[in-house]
Formats: sequence, structure tokens, C-alpha cells
Amino acid sequence: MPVYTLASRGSSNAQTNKAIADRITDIHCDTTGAPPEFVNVIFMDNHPLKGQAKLSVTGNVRSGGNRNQELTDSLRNNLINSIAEAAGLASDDVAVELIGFPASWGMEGGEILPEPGEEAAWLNR
Amino acid sequence: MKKVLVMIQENQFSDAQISELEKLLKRLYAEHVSQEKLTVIWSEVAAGRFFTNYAASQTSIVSAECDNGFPQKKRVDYLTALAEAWSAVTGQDLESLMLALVDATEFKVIADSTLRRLSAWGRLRFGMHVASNLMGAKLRGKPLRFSPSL
Repeated sequence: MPVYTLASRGSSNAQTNKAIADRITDIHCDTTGAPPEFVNVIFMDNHPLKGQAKLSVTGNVRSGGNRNQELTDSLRNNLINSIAEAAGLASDDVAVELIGFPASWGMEGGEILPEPGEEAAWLNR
Repeated sequence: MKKVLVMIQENQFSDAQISELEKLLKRLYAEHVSQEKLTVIWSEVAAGRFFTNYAASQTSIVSAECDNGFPQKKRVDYLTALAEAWSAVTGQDLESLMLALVDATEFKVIADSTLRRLSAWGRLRFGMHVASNLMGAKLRGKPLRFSPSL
């Protein structure tokens, strides 16, 4: 967690995907303080998207903890700009939806996920 | 009917392992969560399309649906049992296994997110993609597996 899925209208290539995944990981970690080990990015090709979006991003992220509205808005805006830059698109061509659910519903490494902002202690367990 | 969404890398596991994992998912769900019918949906992501921690991913993601307000103690018991049993079948490190048991309301929001961003034609095309794979799986008596790309 998080899991970002990116749906694009056409076919993607591994090199561009890697560049986009790196930027998403950077932005997610810089904005939320989460460790990069948590960040998953998945690409899906040839999806007929609605509206003008050429790339549609859904992020399933932990809610609660230090994740207030301001941080969530900042994360969304930073993602749009960075993904657009990495993909060579205009910001208006990238749509981002963030879906939050409680950390206590998920498990990684055989342990229930930490609340957002409490990752350091969890990683040192 | 409840659902489990599984996301793995293409060719990460053998057909026999996937069949065994599907049986495992259904057995542990019945033991720990509910006797309700469970549909397991496998998405197999092609190489170059799944990254974790800046690198090609080895992670498997399992998201299961439960009733709203499911008790946390039972949720932890289920996820713990699933992590141990899954790892025993696949040999995966637990760090490469992301599991979630999600209340029905939030699960629907997540499960519908793919359709929500598609055009009307896209939803029809995606539905046909899933339906054709479902038909093939039923005819062969095998797990429902498909690529999330169209």
C-alpha cells in the first residue's frame, strides 16, 4: 500500500512506465513520508477512457493518521504534474482519483499496516 | 456473493500454484470470514507494467471483500492465516505479499474504480473482456484469470 493503477488509452512501454513509476514513488514518499517499499505502480493499456484524460490514475492509499485534506490535495496535485511531465502530457490529460481506507484493514510483511505517519517504528519492528 | 481481487505478475506462478492458491483463498475465507459464495478474480500483469519500490515488482496483492463492520480481531486472524498459507505455497517472502480485507462499501468503490474511468464503449469492452475470460474459465473448470490491459 499504496497501489497506484494507471490506465492509458494506448500501449505503454517499459521505459516510460519505469520513469512514471519512479516519479509516483518520489511524489508519494516526499508528500506523505511513507517509505518507497510500500509503493506499487501498475499499468493497464488500451483502456477507452471517458472525458479528455489520456492517462487515468487511481491510487488506493491508507487514510487516517497524518493524512488530512490538505495533504491529500497536495498529493493529488503533485501526482498530476509529475506524471504529466514524465509521460510527456499536459496536466489536463492526467486524471487522478485517490481512494482511502483504514491501514488496519491491510497487511504487509505479515503485519497489519501502520497508521500513516507511524511507518518508522513499523519498519524497525 | 463476495469477491477477492488478486493481482500478480504474469508467469509468476504455475497453473498448479494458482489453482492451489484459489482453493486456499476459498477455504480460508469460509473458515475465517463467511460461508458466502466467493468469486476469485486473478489479474495477471505483463512484464514492464508492475513496479514496487522503484523496481520490477515481485509483489502479489490480494484484496478480499467482507461485510461492513467486520470485527478487527477476526480480520487480523484471517490475514495472518492467509499470509502464512500463501507464502507456503509460493515460497514468497512475506514482504512481497500485500493483503487486505476490505468492508463491502469501500471494496465496491475500489472494485468499480476501473469501470468508473472508462467511457461507455470502454465499460462494454472491459465487460466483454472479463465475460469472455469467465466463460473460458468455466468451460475449462479453471480459475478466472485475465490481463488488466485490453
